[in-house]
Amino acid sequence: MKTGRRAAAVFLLGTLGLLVPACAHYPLNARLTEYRADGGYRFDPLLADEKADELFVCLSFSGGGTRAAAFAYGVMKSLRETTIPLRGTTVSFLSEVDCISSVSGGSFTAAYYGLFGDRIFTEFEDRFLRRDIESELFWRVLSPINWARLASPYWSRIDLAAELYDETVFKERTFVELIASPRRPFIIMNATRLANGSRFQFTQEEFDFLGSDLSEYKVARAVAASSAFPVLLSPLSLWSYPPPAGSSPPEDYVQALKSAAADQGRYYRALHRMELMTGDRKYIHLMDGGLADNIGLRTIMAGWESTDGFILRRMNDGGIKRLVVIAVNARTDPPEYLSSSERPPGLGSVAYKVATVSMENYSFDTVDLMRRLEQGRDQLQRTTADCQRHLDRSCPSAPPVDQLRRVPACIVEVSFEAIQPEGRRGEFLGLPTSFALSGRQVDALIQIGGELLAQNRDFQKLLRALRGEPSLGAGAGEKGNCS
Amino acid sequence: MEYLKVEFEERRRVMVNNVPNGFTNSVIEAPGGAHTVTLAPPVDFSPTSQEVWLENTAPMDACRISFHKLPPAAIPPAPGRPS
Repeated sequence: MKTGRRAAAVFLLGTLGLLVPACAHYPLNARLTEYRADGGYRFDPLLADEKADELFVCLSFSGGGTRAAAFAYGVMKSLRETTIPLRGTTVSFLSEVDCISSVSGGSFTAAYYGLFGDRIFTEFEDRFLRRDIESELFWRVLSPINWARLASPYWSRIDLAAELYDETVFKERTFVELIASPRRPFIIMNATRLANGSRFQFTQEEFDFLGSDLSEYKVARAVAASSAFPVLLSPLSLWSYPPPAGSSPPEDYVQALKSAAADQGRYYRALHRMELMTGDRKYIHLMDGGLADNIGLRTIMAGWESTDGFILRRMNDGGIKRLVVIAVNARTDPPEYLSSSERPPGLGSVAYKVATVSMENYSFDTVDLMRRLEQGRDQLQRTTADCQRHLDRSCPSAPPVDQLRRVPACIVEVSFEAIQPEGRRGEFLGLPTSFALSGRQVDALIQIGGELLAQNRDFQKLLRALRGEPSLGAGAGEKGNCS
Repeated sequence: MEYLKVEFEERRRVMVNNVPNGFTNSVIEAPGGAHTVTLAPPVDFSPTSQEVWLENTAPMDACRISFHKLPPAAIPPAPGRPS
């Protein structure tokens, strides 16, 4: 009799042990109780004196797993060692960085720097770069307690990954810590909304549209969403709440929705965000930021092209005297085998290609788009200045023509394509996208990041200009806005 | 990108879609389409705001709008103040 009772108790406890975790639910993002234009994780409240805007520097870190994280880290190390004279003193270039927009693997580096500052240079390699994250995740999946949790429809592989990053990399930090350390750079981690393919950034500005407070949200979950590689990891979900009483949609978005034809980018950005403010509860499912933009440049472009953007406002105000964007692009070009097979590719190959091909295509486009934006503005500045010079000569009494504010914008792209010789380049272009690279590969990536930045002609031109050193002249290619 | 010039008797901060963007009497950059434009306080100008449509502009051929400074007697009392 006693044995029967004991068996029943064990069965009951066992069943409960399985059922309770099976009710596991992903952590919810908090509801926003009061809208405050200067509250939460936004660019404007971050402390910086007015002069800090004069040299305005943004970095973008691409996706690409540990390869991208290590490459971005190598570039940061080099920026830290690079000094420039500024406001009567000598400062590290890294200390002048105002924003970092990151995607996927690059988000690990960006978030770590945002949270821990210069500690990244003593901690990050052991805490993330040199670990076999994939194996650690695999062992967690094999743990029986996680089987039960994974059986819940509201708990999935991405939550397991976020838990791992939270415990072992980001040490349970939330956005409160980013807000409490009110210094630049502003870290913008980008994910992609699965419903419509639009960019989603982990900032309070974006969370306002969800009626949600980002402050208490774990940074690790933002990084997990940003790096939720399609198919291998599941989407990360957020709740959208009705907006708090008294809040109204931003006027820029209300105006943008009046016409799609005038500026489609502006229209769809407004449409995708405003559709969340309808008052009904909605659910946002996020995947790897690389699906919308694998190098993180489009977020910086949006800041440059909208009247509520953190860059354009400062350009219109005259605060920014020089804009520098350094795109750290860990794009690879692995050998391609599909074209040599007569047999149509299998499901696995198709799924992998579908998940990655758009990431690579949009990387080319985005860098070109950013350069065209910069070149177009530069041409307009020079045209109006030329016009004024002609007028001064031919008709000195005429009123001055309207001038576009002169803001040289220097776009620097650091990528494996610049590696010489070809054989060495091939080694880097063939690196896999994974969260488990060998120590030798990590060393090589950190080193090449620094080397490529130091050799980059645009960056060298920029340094000469900032240091007041003479340029090498037009014959040496010193014509662009970096000089 | 499109270009807007807001003319006013003095230098004043311009608000485009309720966000500070540049100053009066200088060229302001903004995306194409509809915008609400006004000036920063004090509200001693008329009209209180204007709707503009930016299209096919250039820095030397910016969309121009004007605000006029009101004489002191015509300035509406601030909310909450006895008139």
